[in-house]
Amino acid sequence: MAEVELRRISKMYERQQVVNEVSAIIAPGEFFVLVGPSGCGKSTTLRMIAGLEEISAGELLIGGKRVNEVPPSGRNISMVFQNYALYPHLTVKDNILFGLQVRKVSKQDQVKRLEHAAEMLGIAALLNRKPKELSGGQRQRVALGRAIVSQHPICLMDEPLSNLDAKLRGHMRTEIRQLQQELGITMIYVTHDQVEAMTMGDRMMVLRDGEVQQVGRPLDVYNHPANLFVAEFTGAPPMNTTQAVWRSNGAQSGVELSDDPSRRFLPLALGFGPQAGIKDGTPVVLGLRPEALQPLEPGAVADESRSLLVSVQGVEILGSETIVEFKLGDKLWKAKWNGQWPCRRGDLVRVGFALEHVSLFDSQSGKNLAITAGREKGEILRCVQ
Amino acid sequence: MGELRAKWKVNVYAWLLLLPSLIFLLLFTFYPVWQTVILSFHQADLGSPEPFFNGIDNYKQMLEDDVFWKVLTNNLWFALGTVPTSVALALGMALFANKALRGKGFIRTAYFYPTVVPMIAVANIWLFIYTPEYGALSHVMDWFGKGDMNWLGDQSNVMWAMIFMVIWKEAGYFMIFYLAGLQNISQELYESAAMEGASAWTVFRRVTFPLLMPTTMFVSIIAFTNSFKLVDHLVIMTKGGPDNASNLLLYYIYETAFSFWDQGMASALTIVMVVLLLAVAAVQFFGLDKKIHYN
Repeated sequence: MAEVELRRISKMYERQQVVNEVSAIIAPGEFFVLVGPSGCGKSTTLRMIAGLEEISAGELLIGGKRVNEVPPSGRNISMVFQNYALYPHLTVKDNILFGLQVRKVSKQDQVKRLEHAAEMLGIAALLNRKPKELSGGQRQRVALGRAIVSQHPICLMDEPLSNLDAKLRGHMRTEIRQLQQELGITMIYVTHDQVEAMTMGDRMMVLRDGEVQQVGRPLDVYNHPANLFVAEFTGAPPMNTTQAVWRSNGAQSGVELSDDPSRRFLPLALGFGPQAGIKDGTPVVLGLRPEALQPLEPGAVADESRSLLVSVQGVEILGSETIVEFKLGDKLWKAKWNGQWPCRRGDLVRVGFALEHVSLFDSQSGKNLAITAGREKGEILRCVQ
Repeated sequence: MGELRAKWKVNVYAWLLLLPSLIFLLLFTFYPVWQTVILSFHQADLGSPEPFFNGIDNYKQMLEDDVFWKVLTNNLWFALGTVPTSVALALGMALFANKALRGKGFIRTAYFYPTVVPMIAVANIWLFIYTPEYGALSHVMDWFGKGDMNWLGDQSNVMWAMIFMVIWKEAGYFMIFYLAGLQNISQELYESAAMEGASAWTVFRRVTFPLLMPTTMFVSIIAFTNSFKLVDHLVIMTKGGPDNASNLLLYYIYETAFSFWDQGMASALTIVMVVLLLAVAAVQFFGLDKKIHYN
């Protein structure tokens, strides 16, 4: 097993910086996801690891050895391409065995590995077909089969699920994850879909414009986004945000919503403020995840400071959950509630939130200003239950 | 009733749309073809004021005609000399032009250029090149002490000279088809092969060439029919000589029809040529086609 290490890797095209000093250490057997919007440099980074793109600056180490100048075939890596890269004129069997034939693996060994892979993927009945005669999911499996028979300890995947329909995508997500765990290989996986990143990865790296935004376990990234970009990129619907100003007047500190005509004040004492070193009057961005905004019972005593009375703008009832849209200032916010809520446009509802779910970002740099200390513990406790 | 009428209407409409091209096809293709078939069973030379039916006499005569056999063998050698070479050369040129990083446009233009020049002009250029004593090629051969070679006037050289010229002319044209074919092959396939460490030759043999087979098929049919169609250069350069050494079937048909004025024999020769071309195309299409992968 090998470990992949990226040391300040950069890619320049002419004068354009596509990837800027990306560093990461990927442990053996880890499922590592590179995620970001299109054009963020994630595919380029993957292709540099594969050896299909030259590394402009920085070092790439596989198994502790520098491999910048090693050709793709010498890096002990297999790769699954976005369009599967199946040879259209070869049968499934020949497609899977192509690499082994090139590397002159013995015939006996070829047969053994083919049988093993075909059984694992359930494609034994398709071996004599041509790619044209296969469905999208079957082609995907053949591409996986190629990676399996190669027996390389590292596998790279470049948006492998983007050509499948939603249902199959969900299915293949678990299948790929299972396969990776069964084989114990190191997986580096590129996607633009944050759901894939959240559900499949041991760790994920969020990229934007060629720069690393955050690296961490999916839940940590979700709960403690390093900056506004990550906060708005993760989660569906993404985190709600609005402009605010930090007010700290003696006993009470909190934010004043600047987009709100009534300039509502929300006191946020816990963990924020003096400890985080925010000065009075600093412009900040307030963030709240949709699921953190929960409806308050009409009869319940409402805590003014931790709730908002809002007018419903739109409702999406998805069956298992309901997404309620409302305006806060000039921003459209979304709240996600479990179950079916027969709200209607124009209804007045009171939504409450817990203080520990509030995120504050610097309005200039977008950096997360403070992370409350108690939150992580609470999260882990709930996970255990 | 109404349904039938509606069907009629659609049919009439379709036929009307087809009519313009159909008229021209009938007038200028099907009718002459039919007339040629009929004429090939008639004696229609200068000795017979009115053409008269003579059965398969024309065909019988043809089989006994030494010139016909000479011309036919010439043409087969000409096809054998031009088709594989120009196709292979076109493929090589396309691979190179596709890979070249600098001057891609220039290379393509340079390769394609001979195709744009009319055959008559090409023939004149090469006539100068092949001229004995003061031609361009003679000058070059002078350095090797062989300046006295007569390229077009020697029975054993003239066919090679023609074949060389036609390859020069045609390869660039076929290259265009190969370039289009290459562009259709996904880059991912090459990257995948690179990940496996396949050598350039393996990639060509197992990926590029099989995926270009539809193009190869198409181009070889064109090349083959061209080798029977090409006649302009003979008019300018050799008139089929010396002693029919460079004569080809189509030029012989032309001579029979418009120099010897034997219309019946010319028609019979035409039929033979058409049947020959159809047979070869059929073999290529129905025989090889099954082994080719089409996307």
